[in-house]
Amino acid sequence: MKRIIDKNLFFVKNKDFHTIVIRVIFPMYEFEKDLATSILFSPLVSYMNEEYDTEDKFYREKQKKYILNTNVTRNIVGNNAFVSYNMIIPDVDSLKEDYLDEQFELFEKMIYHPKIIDGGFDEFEFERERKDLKQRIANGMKNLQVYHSVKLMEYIDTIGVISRSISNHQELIDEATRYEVYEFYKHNILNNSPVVFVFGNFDDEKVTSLCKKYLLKNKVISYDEDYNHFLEPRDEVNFIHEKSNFKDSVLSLVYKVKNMTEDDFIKLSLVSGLLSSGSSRLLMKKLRDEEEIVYSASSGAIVRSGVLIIDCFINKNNKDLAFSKVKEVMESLKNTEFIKPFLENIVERSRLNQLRLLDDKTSLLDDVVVKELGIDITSKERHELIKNISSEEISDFMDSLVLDTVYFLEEEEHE
Amino acid sequence: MSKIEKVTLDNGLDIYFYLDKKRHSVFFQHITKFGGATKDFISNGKTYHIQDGIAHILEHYIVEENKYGNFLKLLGEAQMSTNASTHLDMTRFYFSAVENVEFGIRTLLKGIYAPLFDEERLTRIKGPIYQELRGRSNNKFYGLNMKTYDTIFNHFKFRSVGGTLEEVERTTIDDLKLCFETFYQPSNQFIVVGGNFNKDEILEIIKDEYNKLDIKKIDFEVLKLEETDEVNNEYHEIEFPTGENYLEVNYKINLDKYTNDEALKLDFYFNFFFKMFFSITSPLYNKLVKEEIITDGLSCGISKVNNYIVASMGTHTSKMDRLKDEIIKTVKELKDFDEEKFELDKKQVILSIILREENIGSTVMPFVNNIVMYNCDYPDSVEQVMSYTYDDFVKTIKEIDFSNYSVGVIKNKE
Repeated sequence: MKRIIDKNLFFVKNKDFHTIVIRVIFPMYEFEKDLATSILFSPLVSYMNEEYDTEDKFYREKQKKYILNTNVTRNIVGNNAFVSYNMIIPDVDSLKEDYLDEQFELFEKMIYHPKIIDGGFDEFEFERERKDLKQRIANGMKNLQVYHSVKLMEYIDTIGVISRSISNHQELIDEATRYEVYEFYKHNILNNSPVVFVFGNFDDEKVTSLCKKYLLKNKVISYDEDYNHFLEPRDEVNFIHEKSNFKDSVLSLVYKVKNMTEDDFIKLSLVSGLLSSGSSRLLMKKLRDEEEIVYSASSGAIVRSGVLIIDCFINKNNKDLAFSKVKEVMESLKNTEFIKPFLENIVERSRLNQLRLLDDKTSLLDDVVVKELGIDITSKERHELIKNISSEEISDFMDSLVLDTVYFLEEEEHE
Repeated sequence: MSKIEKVTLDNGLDIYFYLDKKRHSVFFQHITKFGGATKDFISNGKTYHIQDGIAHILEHYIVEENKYGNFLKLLGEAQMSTNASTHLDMTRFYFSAVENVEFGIRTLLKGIYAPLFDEERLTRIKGPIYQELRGRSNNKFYGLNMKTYDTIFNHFKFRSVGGTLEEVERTTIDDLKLCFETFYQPSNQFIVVGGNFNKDEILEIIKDEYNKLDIKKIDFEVLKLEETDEVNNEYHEIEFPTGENYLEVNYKINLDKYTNDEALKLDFYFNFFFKMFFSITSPLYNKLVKEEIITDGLSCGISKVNNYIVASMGTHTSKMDRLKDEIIKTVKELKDFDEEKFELDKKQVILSIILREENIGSTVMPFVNNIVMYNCDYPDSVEQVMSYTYDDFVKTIKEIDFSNYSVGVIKNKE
């Protein structure tokens, strides 16, 4: 589906904070072949550029212009990626001086004038980032949480979207060249059009003029939207038992939704909330309070894949007990009278979160960004939906949740 | 920055109020000056040297085994964000709420002072703690930290806040009771309330709860052991699965000659020192990158243990000897002082202090650390940082004795 964004500049005015946050977001399609180049290009454009061609020079220049922070982030939704160049600056009232023009100008250099030599990124920096990426992956895979997460996605993903990870395609890192990374940059940034979001306390006219001068392009923003990739449950449960050198064991139960649609998003999120939100914590009640076999158990929903994941960090001898107790908890969610008070708690927490969020500038801005890019609904919209979901609907929905995978990552030894 | 207002109750409890009417939440913290590194003390005339882990177990115990029920659960069910944590020199119980603040305060205060001590309850809470420690032991830096403290301290026997599984197993109910009665006294605690609230109302609630309590006053003194400035060994390593080897240099610095205010200033100066000598703008970093000794930046930080600062600088590398030599040489020679850099970094720090007001936690937590670490019950201020001069910074850093250090390494098993 082609998504067209006909407005490219959004202001979120707020006088309760002292900083201005600017996000310049480039939507793009994420191809597997671009995995390495899309990761490698971020640091290459973050720390230096054509004019300030060393880390030191760029950092000092940012300091002189009172730029608090710049970075480049990448958010993946299905087969789409959103690369965001971010800048945080003090507002003019806090700084007592107006540096906006210099700040925006430097930000523009960072985005549109990278350090390019002979048709590619600087060779030394490129090789350094390549080595650093491989090192980070190697370090990450020695960490229990990272390793577990990468492997779990591999086991549950039958269509190659959520498991798409550079850890599984390290050959792409070796194959990438500084020229290809530059081609990626040209295609997705230089020849692309961003959507710009500005949050904080500022003069509209002034900032509009600066955005037009330095950041925006006169092109329609359109991209192929490919967010949803629902995973259908297997006919039989996939049991995986893997031994490891880690000092802890993890038992994961993964449920998939039969015939998932977007209408199920909120219900799947609510099931996860019933299991592990602060208002409900049914998993911890069972596994920690009653059975005392965990310090940590959690759940999460990947709604655009129709997946619910439950993780329990346990002693390996408690595997069977933990498995049966989690299934007990899942079964209890079919009992409408049982879950009704917990659902009410979740609705109440959601109401209070609307107030809590007013103190969090990142969440306030995120709310607008995800809505305008069609990635998600706002927290207020979510609250309205949650309010109207009954315990009967949740109970009925539980019938469409099918246990798909059980992954037990066993520790080396236990004491 | 808005002022922080202090009120002291008759029982010795200090309460600090930070009012910010722009916010919608209230952030309430109760802090006891007893943490994982508080191990040697006199209580009612008797001397004790306790093992690691007791403060952490006590934290769990207070939350889960008090007369009124698990108060983190109760606060969670009332839709608050809440938690407890044990640090080197403090234990915190806290919540953040937009409504029901009175309920939160009363529940927390009631629960903290009402643990029910018996062995059966202790056995019950140990299970999840074993799991927690097992989880931590998967972290290579946790392991290195323990080895670092083991190596650099001679008489002070502290390795980790959580302790080992054996230490948890050995902990008795009498251990917990002793520490609770000794340290959980209002004169050894303080409360910080930040956000949007009515100060008089909150004060009355707190007073009301304390008036109901009958807390035995116990004389105690935290002992300062005779610790020598030298380290046990100039090298220590752990074998742990790691993608790339990791090396850091840990400097042991005695704080005896500094007053509290000077130690707090030193904390700031270390921030400038790390930026000047080890950050991406430093000659050392540029050299290490150019010679392909490192690919990523150096991690730098300080921790305060007993009356020492442990200052650490390190990163992943395949050229460990080179990295080690360069770090040690840089600290020994101290030839990269730069006044322009100092002034730029100082401006940045001043700006960050001004901007802390955006977030209640960002304002309150540095203030809490000032009290607990340096006994300075005032928040960082623009005026304070503006008074720091380049000459004073250079003099202070040059006067630090950097001769006592130990190199710590994480490497894969052969």
